[in-house]
Order: sequence, then C-alpha cells, then structure tokens
Amino acid sequence: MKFLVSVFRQSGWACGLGVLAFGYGLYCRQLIVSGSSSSTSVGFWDVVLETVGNPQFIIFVLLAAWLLHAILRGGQETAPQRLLRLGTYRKVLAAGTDQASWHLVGMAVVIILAIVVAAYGLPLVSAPSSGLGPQTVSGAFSTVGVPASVASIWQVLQLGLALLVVRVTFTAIRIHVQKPAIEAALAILIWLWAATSTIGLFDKNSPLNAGLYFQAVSAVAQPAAYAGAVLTMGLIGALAMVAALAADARRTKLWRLHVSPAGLQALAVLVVLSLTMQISIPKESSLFGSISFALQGNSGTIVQYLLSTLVFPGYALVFALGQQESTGSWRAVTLIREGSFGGMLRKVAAREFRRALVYLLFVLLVATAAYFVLGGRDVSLPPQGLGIWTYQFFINGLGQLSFYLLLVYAAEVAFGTRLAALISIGLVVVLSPPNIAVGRWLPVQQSAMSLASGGWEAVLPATASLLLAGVSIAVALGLRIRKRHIVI
Amino acid sequence: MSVISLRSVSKKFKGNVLFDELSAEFEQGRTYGLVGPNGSGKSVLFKMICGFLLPDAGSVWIDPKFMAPKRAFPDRFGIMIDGPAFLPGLTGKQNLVDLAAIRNTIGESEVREILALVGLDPDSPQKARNYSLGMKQKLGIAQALMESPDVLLLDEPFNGLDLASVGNIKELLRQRQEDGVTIIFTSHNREDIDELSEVTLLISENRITELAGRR
Repeated sequence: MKFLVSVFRQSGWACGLGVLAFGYGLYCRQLIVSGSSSSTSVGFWDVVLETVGNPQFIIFVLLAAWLLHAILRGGQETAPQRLLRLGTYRKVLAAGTDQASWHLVGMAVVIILAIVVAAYGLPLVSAPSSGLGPQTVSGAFSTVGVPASVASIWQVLQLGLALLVVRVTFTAIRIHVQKPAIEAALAILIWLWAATSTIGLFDKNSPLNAGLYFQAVSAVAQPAAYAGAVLTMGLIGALAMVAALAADARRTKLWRLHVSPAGLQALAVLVVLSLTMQISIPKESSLFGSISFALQGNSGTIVQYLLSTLVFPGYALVFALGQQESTGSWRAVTLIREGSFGGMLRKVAAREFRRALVYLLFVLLVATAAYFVLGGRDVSLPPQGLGIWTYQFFINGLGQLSFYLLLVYAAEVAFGTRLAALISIGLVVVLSPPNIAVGRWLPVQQSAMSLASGGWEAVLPATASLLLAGVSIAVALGLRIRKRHIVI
Repeated sequence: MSVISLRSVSKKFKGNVLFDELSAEFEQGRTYGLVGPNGSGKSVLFKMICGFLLPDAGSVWIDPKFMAPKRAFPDRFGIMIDGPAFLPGLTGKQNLVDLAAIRNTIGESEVREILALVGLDPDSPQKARNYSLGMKQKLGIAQALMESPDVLLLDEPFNGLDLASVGNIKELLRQRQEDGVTIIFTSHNREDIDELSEVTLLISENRITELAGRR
C-alpha cells in the first residue's frame, strides 16, 4: 500500500509524469512501428522498453522532474523537527532513501500504466516478441537473447537505482551543506551533464557518458564501461553513507563552501564555455570565429543553445535568486529610503547595467583564454569588421541581458514572489529551442553572434527588437504598479 | 497635530476583510501601542501607512512635510515590518552602511554607533545569516532607528530579545520619545505596551478601538 499512498501524496507529479509518459509512449510506438518491417511483430513490451529506455524521455522528463522534486521536497528531509525525531543523520539518510524509493515505485507504476495505455493502441499487440532493428532498444536486447519484458524490468530497475543514487547524493550534501543554492546548482550541472551526454559530447565508453548510468542497454553495447558505471553508483551510495556517519560523529563539516550563486554562475560559464570552445575551434579556427560559433544561441545546435541559455537566461536566474530589492522586508526598507519606486528602479537599473557589462567582459575573457589554452592561435579580425562584431557582442548582448533582468524583476515585483521570476525564465527557455520558426522573433535570438556576419542590416534591427521587447516589459510593469500598487 | 490620518479606510487582503471604514489619527510626538489577535491586520496597517499597499476605499493621509513632490513613500520614517530586513550575505555593519548610502545623511561612524547602542559589535565579521534570532532583531531595530527618523513604525520590536536587551531597546525608545519622535509599535506583550505607549489601540473585527492608556 505504501506506493498507493506515495502516488496519492505525489498525485500532481504522478499525473504530470503520467501524461508525459503517455505522450512519449505514443511517440515511441509510432517510431518503432514506422521503423519496423511489416513482417515484424511489435508488442506492448517493446513500446514500454523503447519509452523507458528513450534517452530524451529519461533526461528531459524523468531526470528533470526528479531533480526538481529533490530540490523542492528535500528541505523537509533535514527539517529540525524531523532530525530530532529520527535522532541520527544515518537514520535521516535511511528514511530519505526509503521515502524516495516509494516515491519512485509510485511514479513507476503510473508511468508504466500510462505507457501500457499508449501501447495498447497498437494494431500488433498479439505477439510479445520482437524482431526490431538493432538501432532500437528492443532490437539491441534481442540480439543477445534478452526478451523485451525482461529488458523492460531491467531498465526500470536500472533507472530507479540511478535516480535513487541521485537522491541519496542530494540528501548527503544537504546534511553537510544545507544550502539550497548549492543543491540547485548541482541539479543544473547533473542535468546539463546528462543532456550533453545524449547528444554525444562524451565518448560512449567514457565514464562521463550518462547513458551508462541511466540506460540498461549500455550493458549490451558497452559491457565493461557499464560495469564501471554500476560500480561508481555503488561507490557514490557508500560515500553518502560515510558522509552521514561522519555527520553523526559530529566531526568537522566535510564541506565549508560559501559559494554565492554569482560565483556558481561564473564557474558554470567557465566550464560550459570551455567545453563549447573545444567544439567550435575545429570548425572556426580564428579567435573571433570560434567565439561567434560558440555563441550562436538558438540558431545553432543544442550545445550552442545550452551555452547561450546559461550565459543569458542563466545570468538572469542568478540575479533573481540574489535579488532582495523586489520582494519582502528588504524591499520595504529600501523603498522607504528611496522615496519612490521609480527612484529605486533607476538605481537598480544603473547598478545592473554596470554588472552586466562586467559580466560580458568576463565571458569574452573566458572564451579568449579557452581559445588560447585549447591551442588556437589565429587572431585575424572578423571578415565583417571588428566594429560590427563588437557591437553585436556588447550592445546586443547587453540588450539581451537587460531584457531578461527586466523580465524577472517585473515578474518578482508584480507577483511578489521569486517563483514568478523562475517561471518567467523557464518560459523563455522552453519557448526558445533551436531553430524554431518563431525563434528569430524572440529576444533569445537577438544576441546570436551569427547576426554579426549579416552586417549592420542584421544587427541594428536586432537592437530595435530588443529595445521594443524591453520597453514592452517596462510599460507592462508600470501599468501593473499603477493599477494595483506593489506587493510586499 | 496629526502626522498620520486614516480616513474611512477599508481593506481586503487575500480574500479577508481586514478593515472596514477604519479611521484613526496619530499625533506627532506620541507613542501608540497596537494590540490585536494574529491576522488582525497590524502589519497590513503599517504597509498602508508607508504606501506599500493602497486601501480599497478611504485614504491614508500623511503630513506633507514627509512627502516631497516626487516621493511615493514618506521620508524620515524608520520601519521594521514583517521582521528584521537584512541581506544575509553581508555583515550587520555592511547592511546598514548600504542602506544609509541611499539617503546619505549618516556615515559609517553613526552606523557603528547605532549598532553598539542596540548591543551588536560593529566590527564583527559575522554575516547576518549567521546571527541568532535576537541579533537579527537588534539589527532590524538598528536599521529602523538610524538616520534619526521622525516616525517609527515597529512591528513586534521585542521579539526574540533577552530580558536585558528588551530593557535596552525600551530605553532607546524612551530617548526617542523625549526627542519628540512619533512611535507606533505592535506587541503581544501587554506589559511592553503599557510601559511604553501613551495610547493603546486594539485592532479587532475590522475596526480600531482606543483602549485606556497613559494620556
């Protein structure tokens, strides 16, 4: 009954995941039916396996939801009243693991039910065996004689174990650090690592390949690397237990990190920008060319899009997390001194404009340093001219940052909660995946360095577009404040 | 002479009717103690006086000497509403110096002085996030008292303070009373209210009623 209780308590999550699993089930069903020959039988276990083994479903749905769940629900695990009742950190870890296991079981039941519903629409459900191509998960397992039903159960268990290890890691970190910002940063890093793995950033046999940890099919394709990954997961679990025992022994805290969200953002930019420069240097040998290639925004590949998301909306997210003047008591004591909302807005704008400029200089500096460290030596000027390039990088870059900052600030002020800022940034990211038709009209596109190659005819309209977007937000904020006043 | 006047103010907050045609006068140099059950709207009343929230009906009048032409919120008001306000990543002194830089009427030496007066070490390298509950409260009070405001709005100023600190803060407030500062404060401790206030106001059932006080 524990899983039923879990499903009931987590009904929101379960429903959301169920709907997404149903959608992915339909998608995978269509995918394997269209990819198989007419003589091939496709059973519902094939659909289940194909869906729960689908890397996009795992990374973009399950892992993302689980990380969010860990952050939102995690604080309760180490709440003082709970600590006092459980008595030791070891028990906190054990209780957290137990609770997370039942959450996983509850969610797994809902997800599999949703996939089964999607799969039973198949015209060919009679035969449970499959003869699908080796490019499919079912096909890969069938080549070594593992039926889809067994492989599905294996995949579900593998996924459950990997997600449980993620959760145990979060609990161990929370026991020692108790900093939501660190947990949020860790969640973003885990997700970025997994997402970049699905697009082939790491070698399939590399221990950094996330597929080894989340996909049971890796046991067939890369058995040695897979064994290493299972061992690593066990090691992480053991380390979490050691961390809990160390906390029980009242030893010195393992981590004494005081990293601000801005510091984490800078670190993330350093890592992700350096990785992206590694990809861009072979394609564009010159310094300006490779920086332009790395910062293509949503007109580039998923890696370039992720980098731009980190550099621009990521910066605004950090601003929203650190911003104190838009909500709560601090806003009250600053407003009473400033005297008017306009006065405070002007002061915040001037300060953030300076910071954004310094940040862009930092991005340029990191990209340049990465270029030289990675072996680049060609510093020839960009073909369209240094003026246009610099204009696009700094002016439209500043415009882009200003737009996002204004957006999160307006959301926080208008709704009086940081959640509104997070939702607004989430919407920006969700609405701007690479190469979508409306992408060119979105502000996320306007600082893409590819525009610089179009000359002034391309970069000046981008500036106008950013100004228009910024003014629209400012007007909306002004109207909101006038209409309802501000929320403290 | 009134410095604040609530004129037939009605306010709903998050679906609840807090005030219905509420009227009250707050005179210059007097001390008012506000009492009332939890959720009766004491903090909302403070926010409306400051202009952070607008009444649904009626008006809040503030003495024009506190409202320069371009100001939406009154000048020379010291406030502590909804608990102490601070940036957790800064020390107590840095917090106050940053705030003082907005009005630019006092410098670091005055900040140090007020911190010492409330019982905090101005040279402490401790970040405000690591302060105890009482230390955070003292920082909030120091924030409200610095820059010598003419009106003080203090929401539960004695929360989390030890006995000696309560006595110290009361003494600081008495000095402000002698200087002619208008003080409006809330407390759940009737003893504190009786000791400091000249007028005791009860907020209950959408109304404000004057209780017996030291006139």
